[in-house]
Order: sequence, then C-alpha cells, then structure tokens
Amino acid sequence: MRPLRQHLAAAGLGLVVLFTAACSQPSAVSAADAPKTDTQAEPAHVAAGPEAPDFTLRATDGSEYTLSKELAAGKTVVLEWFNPDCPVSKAYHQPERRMNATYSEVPANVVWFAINSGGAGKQGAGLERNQRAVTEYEIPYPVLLDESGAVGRAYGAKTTPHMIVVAPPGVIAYDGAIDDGGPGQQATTNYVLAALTDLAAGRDVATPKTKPFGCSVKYGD
Amino acid sequence: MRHLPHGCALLIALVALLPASCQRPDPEPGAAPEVAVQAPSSGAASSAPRTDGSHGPAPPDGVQPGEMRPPADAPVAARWLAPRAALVRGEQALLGVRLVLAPGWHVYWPGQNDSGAPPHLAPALPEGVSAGAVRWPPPERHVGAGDVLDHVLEDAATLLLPVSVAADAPLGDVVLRARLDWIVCRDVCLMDGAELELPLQIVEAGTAPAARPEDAALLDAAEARLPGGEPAGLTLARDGDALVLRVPGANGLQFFPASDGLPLQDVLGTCAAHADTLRLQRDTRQHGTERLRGVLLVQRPDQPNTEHLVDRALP
Repeated sequence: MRPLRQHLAAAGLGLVVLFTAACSQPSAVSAADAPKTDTQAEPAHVAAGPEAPDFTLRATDGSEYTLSKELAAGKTVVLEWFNPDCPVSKAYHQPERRMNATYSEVPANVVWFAINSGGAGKQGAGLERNQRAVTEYEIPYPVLLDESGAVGRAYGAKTTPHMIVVAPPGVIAYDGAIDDGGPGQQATTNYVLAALTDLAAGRDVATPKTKPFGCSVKYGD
Repeated sequence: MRHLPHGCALLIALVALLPASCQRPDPEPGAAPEVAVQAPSSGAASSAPRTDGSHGPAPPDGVQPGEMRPPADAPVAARWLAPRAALVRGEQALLGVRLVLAPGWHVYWPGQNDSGAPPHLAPALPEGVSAGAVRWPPPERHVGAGDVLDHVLEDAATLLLPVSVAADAPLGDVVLRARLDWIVCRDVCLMDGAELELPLQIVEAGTAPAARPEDAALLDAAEARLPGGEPAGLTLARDGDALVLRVPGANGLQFFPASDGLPLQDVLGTCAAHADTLRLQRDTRQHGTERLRGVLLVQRPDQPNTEHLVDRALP
C-alpha cells in the first residue's frame, strides 16, 4: 500500500471542498477549516487511501448528516450499505444482531451510518420501510436514505452489506466485507474492527480492501 | 429528504471513477515484451481443464427435458448426481451436484463478483472416499443496475466433484451427504441451503456397477462444458500495473477472473473487448495471489466461442 503524503491529503481535501461547493452544501466544512479541539491531537500517522466523496443525507428520524462535519470533528466514519429486506443484511441484523455487536466494540471516536441506496420502489427502499427496520432490528445508529443512489455510486457500493471506513482527513481506509463469513461459512475475522484497531494504533490498515459479500444494491434504473 | 442536484450526482460519480482507474482498454499489442505460451498449470483455479486437450462446441448443459424447474418462492433445486449405482474400491469417479433454478434467477460463480457469493458445498463422504476440488462450469457476465458486475450461473448448472475410493473402503450400503448453502438472486436475493443425500454402495474392485444413465448424461455434458486449456498463442505481458493479455486471431475476449486469482480493478470495463487484446488492471490495494487465474472466453470470426482456463504466474 502506498503511504499517502501530506500534500496528497491536502489535494483530497481540496476535492472535498470542491464537491461541497458543487453540491450547494454551504454548511459542510472541510477538515482543514475545522477548529482544533483538545480531543483532536495532531495525528502522528495520516491514514492512507482514496479520497472519500463528501455527502449530506437525511436519516429515517429526519436528522441530516454530513460526512465532512464528522471528519472535521475528528471522527472516523463507518459506512454500512444496508437493505432491510436483503437476506444477507438481515443475517447481520437478526437474530444475533452481529452488526450491533460489532458497533458496540468500535472505539469512541467512531461514527457509524447505515446507508440505503435503493431506488424508489425497489426492495427494502423508502422512508417507511427503513423507519420500521430501525425498530425491528434495534439499530442503534442512523440509517440514511440515498434514494437517488448518488452516494452509493460515488463510493462504488455494490452489495448489502458493503462496509467502508473513512478516516480523517477524508480517505477511504477500508473498503469491503464486514468479515470473512459467507453462505455456510462462519466468520473468523472482522475486517472492520481490524481496520479500526489499526487506525486507532496509528498504523496502516493491514487489509485495506476485500470483496464484500451480499445482495446487489437495488439502485434505481 | 434533500435530493442532490443532478449535476452534483454526476460530479460525484465522475470523481468516484477516478481512483478506480476505469479507463477502457487501450489495446497496444506488442507494446511490451511478451512471454511464450506456457502449458496450463494443473487445476489450481476454480475449474480444471478438460483432459483431452480439445474444446469444440459444448453440448447443452441447460435444463433438460424432464427436469422440474423449482417455483420462484424456492428458486433452487439441488441434488446429487452419480454415474453408477456404486462406487468401486480403488477407482476414481466424477460425481456432481446438479442445480436447477427457477426462470430469471441466478447463483454466483466463484469469480471477482461485485455482489453475491458462490454456492458453498460441504461434502460429507463415506469412510474411504475422498473428494478433490469442485470444478465449475464457465459463467456468464451479468450487469445489474448501478454497474454491478457479477459472473453467474443461470437455468441449470452442474458442479463436478472428483472423488477417489480407497482400496480398503468399507463395502456395502453408504450415503453420500453434503450441505449446500447458496445465495440466489433475481431482482431480489434469497439465502437458503439444503442437505443432499444419495444412497449408493461401495463394491469390490473389478465389479461393474449398473449405470444410472440420466445422471451419467448430465455428468458427461457438464464435463464437456468445462473450460479447455489455454488458447493457442496466448501471451501475457506486463505494462506497469496493467497486464496485456492477447490471443492472436480473436475478435472478442471476455475474461472471468477467479476469486482466488490476482485481484483486478474495474472488471466491468477492462475484462471484455471486441478485440484480440485485454488490458487488465491489477488492484494493488487488495491482497491476493500473484497468479492470473480465471476463464477466458474467446470469440473468433465464423467460429463457435471457446472457453479456456488461464492460470499463469505474472510475467
């Protein structure tokens, strides 16, 4: 893996800012503009990876979330592509609630968003279905709706679940499966927790990319 | 919810394409030194070459007359296939697991797919019977909304399982067992599985067991559908992070990269072309083997398509 140099990271931030401008999101700020707080120590190690496209999406409870705001606050952001009616997503949300179990183990500076990029009328899409899913699966983090699929396509999300870890200043530090489980195969390694552990320890993520396993994202046509 | 303006979505999509190196193939045969043809290596990939070296038009391996298609609410029917009523001590046999799908549904070939996962077969064979690696029929490319590329098996498919029977395997009635788990998709996906059982016998060496002609015909057809060895004249050259694969005389190529081979980027954009050359991009962020593995479909003018196993060390 190539270490990302500071000036490349700055270029990435430039892209994020450019995005923000193009998307008319005046409220979004880049990490570079964010005031430093005492919880935000100067990072000794800059996470490496492709630039993470910024986005603002609304959750099932009506709240609006912007990636760059979370990053500016020093948060590492986990994105989970989600479809309440995909049996693979379902298998991670019930009956053992393995996704919730993973969430319960993440470090304190981690924010987790589920994103549903299903198009209108597609399986598992829509506000009402996802509001119900939050209750049904006891999801403890926001479920964001991306009905146009713009954010899913920007990240190349292809499956549910598909996990992406975005680390400050705004790079994709991990992209792939939540773990190495599959049909008839028990998981032995949780790649997301491993990536978060590497990031927390100031290391390069040892396994930055894997093939996710799941249903295809039900994008609108 | 607030919708992003269309221009914004387009911009996001464009920027997202940049790190994925989604260039279309740029055929430049001879741009880099080429290596000579190697003999196909022995069955390390997910399917194995036919042993006779030939590869003519494949006989049909689709749904056969008399095979019942399952209903859409349980779209996979799976069963064991055995060519004879008994396994013979000290001999090898080619067994199979037959999948018949409801119309419009697909299961996944063990390739570099954007979604899904291949059926997982866990055989539990009688004492003295050991299994080799599953041999898969060649897949088809399937592109869904959002440019989701998968390599899939539709309608019907036979997974071939070579077995060896020990010279001292216990004689008598036995049951072949296997657990098969799958994800099957159409516009939606279902996950399910089945316990497969087939009562057989193990008999003394030198015995000629009764044929099971319907299963034997399906197994023969499946064996004939297996990819052949490498196509004549295949060359593979390295050009930076790109691999230039060329088959002289072809006017179309499709490469189906195996899941246990070199990870590739943008399989959708680079692994198929109406040309004699593919310019494959390795995915340097993803760990994997340093061998190019998969199945290559070759189209030639006025000839039937042929499918070939590729399993090569990188040049």
